[in-house]
Amino acid sequence: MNLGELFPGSVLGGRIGLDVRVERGSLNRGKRVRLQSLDSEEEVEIVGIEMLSNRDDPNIVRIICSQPKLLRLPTGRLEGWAITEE
Amino acid sequence: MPAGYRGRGLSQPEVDAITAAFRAAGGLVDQSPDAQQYLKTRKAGGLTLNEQTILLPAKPTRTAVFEELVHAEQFRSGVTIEADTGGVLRFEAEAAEILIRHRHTWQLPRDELRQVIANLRNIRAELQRLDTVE
Repeated sequence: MNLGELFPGSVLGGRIGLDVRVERGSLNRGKRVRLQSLDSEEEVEIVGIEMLSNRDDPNIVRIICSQPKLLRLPTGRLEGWAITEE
Repeated sequence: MPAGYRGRGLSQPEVDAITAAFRAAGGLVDQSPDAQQYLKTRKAGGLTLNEQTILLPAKPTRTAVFEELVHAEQFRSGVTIEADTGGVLRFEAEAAEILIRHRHTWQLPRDELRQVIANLRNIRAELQRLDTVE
């Protein structure tokens, strides 16, 4: 979700939040990953990982990323997207 | 795991005193209205995003402030999330253990500490369940 639009007056300004499940590889702060939808993709940087476990599925973590410059993210939930390692 | 520890909310001078060293080292404690709104949506009594960024409500509990400072320290040491390892659960368990270990030094209220212990039990049970499943 576009946290920057929802909470512009906080440190989340200019950030997006993605609830992700790590299927391969690993995630850490500072890592650059590719955010992919069905028809477009763009590199973003992981600037944070929320230290808050997902109650329904602990293997899902919320990562905070830089706002993509070209990809237009709708406000609200995003589904069907993937991130891949560079 | 919890929606934040319940207890007495600290005054701003108390929060400032506890986080003084963190902020002096370049850390940012965001208690802005938007940060507080986000915490409500996440049902969290505090949130740490990386080694330099903590979100806190207007009147956080003493335990919540120290927990977020512990998480910031974990980031400083290196946080890596790998596949099927329970996400951030292990870091939450470690943070709870550190809170319990330092309960006297940090003067954590007894009622909040009880919640930390209960939380740790729940996390360990969840980790065990995940280990069994995988």
